[in-house]
Amino acid sequence: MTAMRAVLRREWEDIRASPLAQAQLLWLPVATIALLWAVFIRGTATELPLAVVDLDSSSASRQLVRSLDASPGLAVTLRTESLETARSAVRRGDVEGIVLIPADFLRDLKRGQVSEVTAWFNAQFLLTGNVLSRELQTGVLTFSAQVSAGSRLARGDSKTAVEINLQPIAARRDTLHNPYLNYEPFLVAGLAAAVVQMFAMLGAVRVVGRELRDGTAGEWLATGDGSIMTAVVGKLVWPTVSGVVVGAAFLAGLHGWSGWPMPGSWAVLLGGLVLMVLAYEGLGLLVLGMTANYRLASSVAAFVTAPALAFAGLTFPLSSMPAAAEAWGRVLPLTAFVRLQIEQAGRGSPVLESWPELSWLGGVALVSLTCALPLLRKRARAPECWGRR
Amino acid sequence: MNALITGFTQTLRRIFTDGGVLLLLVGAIIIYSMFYPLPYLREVVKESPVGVADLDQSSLSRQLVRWVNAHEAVAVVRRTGQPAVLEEAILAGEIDGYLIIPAGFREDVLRGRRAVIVYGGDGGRFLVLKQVLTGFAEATGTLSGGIDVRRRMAGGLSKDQAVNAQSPVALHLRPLFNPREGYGSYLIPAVFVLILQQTLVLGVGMIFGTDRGRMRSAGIPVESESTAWLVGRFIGGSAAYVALYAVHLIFYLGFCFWLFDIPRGGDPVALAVFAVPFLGAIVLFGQMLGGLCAERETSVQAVLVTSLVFLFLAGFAWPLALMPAPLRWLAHLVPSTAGIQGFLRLNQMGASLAEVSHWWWTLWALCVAYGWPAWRSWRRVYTVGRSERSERNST
Repeated sequence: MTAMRAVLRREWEDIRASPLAQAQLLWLPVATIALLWAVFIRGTATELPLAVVDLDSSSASRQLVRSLDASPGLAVTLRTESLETARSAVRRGDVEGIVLIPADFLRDLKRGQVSEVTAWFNAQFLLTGNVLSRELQTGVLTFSAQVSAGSRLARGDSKTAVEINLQPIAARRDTLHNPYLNYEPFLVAGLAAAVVQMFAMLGAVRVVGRELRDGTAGEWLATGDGSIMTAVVGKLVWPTVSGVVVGAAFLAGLHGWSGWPMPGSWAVLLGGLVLMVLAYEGLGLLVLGMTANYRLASSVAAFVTAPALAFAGLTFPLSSMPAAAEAWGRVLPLTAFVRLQIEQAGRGSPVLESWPELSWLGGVALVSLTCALPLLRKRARAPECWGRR
Repeated sequence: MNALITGFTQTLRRIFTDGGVLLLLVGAIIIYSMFYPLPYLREVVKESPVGVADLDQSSLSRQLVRWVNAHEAVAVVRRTGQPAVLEEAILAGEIDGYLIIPAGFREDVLRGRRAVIVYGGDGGRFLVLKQVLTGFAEATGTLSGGIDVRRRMAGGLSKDQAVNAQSPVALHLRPLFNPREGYGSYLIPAVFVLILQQTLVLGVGMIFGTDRGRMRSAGIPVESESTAWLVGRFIGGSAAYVALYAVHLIFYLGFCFWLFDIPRGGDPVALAVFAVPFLGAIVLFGQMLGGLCAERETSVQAVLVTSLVFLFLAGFAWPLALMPAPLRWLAHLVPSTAGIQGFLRLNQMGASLAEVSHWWWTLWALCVAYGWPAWRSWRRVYTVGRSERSERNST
């Protein structure tokens, strides 16, 4: 126990003396999460700029433009008679879409022929493009329904009858788990988890890697009274506390301060967080034990953790990936945690539903740490492994 | 002139003789170019699994289910009589969407009452949700429109008249650029620009971090060379990075985009003109940050941490206009923002140079702004000043 206390004190002295260590444990992860959160603070895309090419300039076309402009997702910011001007505005980034109203729009409406409206949305910027296309669809459909209802009302049908006839099958759209289609609770939560895993793996590589590089590994092991277990556990206490506290503070902010509901179990969510931090620390130490090279292990950690969110199936489903990418994604602890987070914080699934994720996270942590310990003991006793850069 | 050449060749030699640096500035470029696009190679999500609870079991409800199944966005994999089963399947992640057709559905439609169906998806998965909802909406809309048309025909209209009256305005909605609406075509071009910047910052940081230690004993003594000569060496060294990254840029924009079949069609001259301030800005940005990294390994950590932030600040995943103003300013300070905006518009959207001039000038402004700190940072690493020298002599 005294050995453990000695290792902890040694670590604490190092943290106190090194602003860099403090930054890595606290300021950097907090700042990174805060910045990412701030990017998506608006959550939903509103008032996306739209160009209208109105070749008809009739009362009907103006009515259509007004009804598009009135929808919360859209804002008509450019009116022009040249399609090329509108296209150029999209390429510049001034608008995200174009609506083209043809010259005989009103005439066709009056004659009872179908008036064709063509619209383009910028699909290169896919997320805004999707929102825009949805809003355009709704906007034009609403207008079309108004016109159609107008013709029936003119024939003397009752208002309810018109509504029912127009849309004999009504659909109630019901989005489970994120009814607001908001990016904040899902994407930001995934990003925060990604930040936590990065710092966990790099932090573990750093605290032990430094000892190898600087040739102080022997001294470190001696402080732990020769027990690699004590030495490693003492090392991991501060990075673990940092990762868990930062991650938990974010979750508290998201579900408390920001008010997003938390229908599931806090215990499972926080337990998953702790296990994920431990799993990445274990992986970091394992890589370090295998390479015995602080820099190389850092690079491997970067390679694993930087693109991890892309493989986690949050934005793009795992099942639509090629087999190699899917396999890699299923192995990553981040994938398990993101699933667990969706189950608990999003869907409010029963605790048992998250059991596979919890056991995978725990399993990775246990196996990687168990494998890393003997390797690290060997490295710490072999001065020829020290000082590699 | 001599100084320029010395700086250029020495920097290239420095890069190609250090295994760790070589792994980053050349190896990582190739590895990342294959690894990052991996999840998105299939591009488009199709045939998302959905479940249906048909409580009506009528000819009309079966028709609706058939039409839903025929839609390319969804595939009915689960049929049940109990809506609760569907919810469980959603929770278990087996299906991405569900449709519930209530009992009495056909009766309601036939008697002119409004029949209400319920469909939905998992809001936790944006990309899939959009497709699932579109699939349900289009299938329902087609069925619903067909019923209205039949009624109007019964009222004495011809078929054409009835169709026109049902939906007097038809909307043709088309994607502009990225015609497949692919996720990879959207993400990969942006990520590649960021990889160029980040590996460069990483490589320079590693070189500076290593050399700082070495140069204490073997640096260029400040007083022995004129400032002009030192500036020449600095510019020559920067040119070496620019030359190396020009090759990488051609590899990414030319070879990799072709390999992954990403829509591209930029004017090569315009791309080259845009690349000049971009490469200049990332090289100066890299040297400025490289000077901040006290040790070789710190740069890995710094770059890793900033990658996610820089990616989302670039304004392609989330529009810059929707970010808080201070973040917009911050975004302009990072070369990858202007680089991603410019390259995407030029190469994927076919913009002219004039249309991306805002980003081109932003990059030149960054070159000017980062030139001085980059030079200071280089000087600190590679020259030994008087104070340090006397310090060393005294010890």
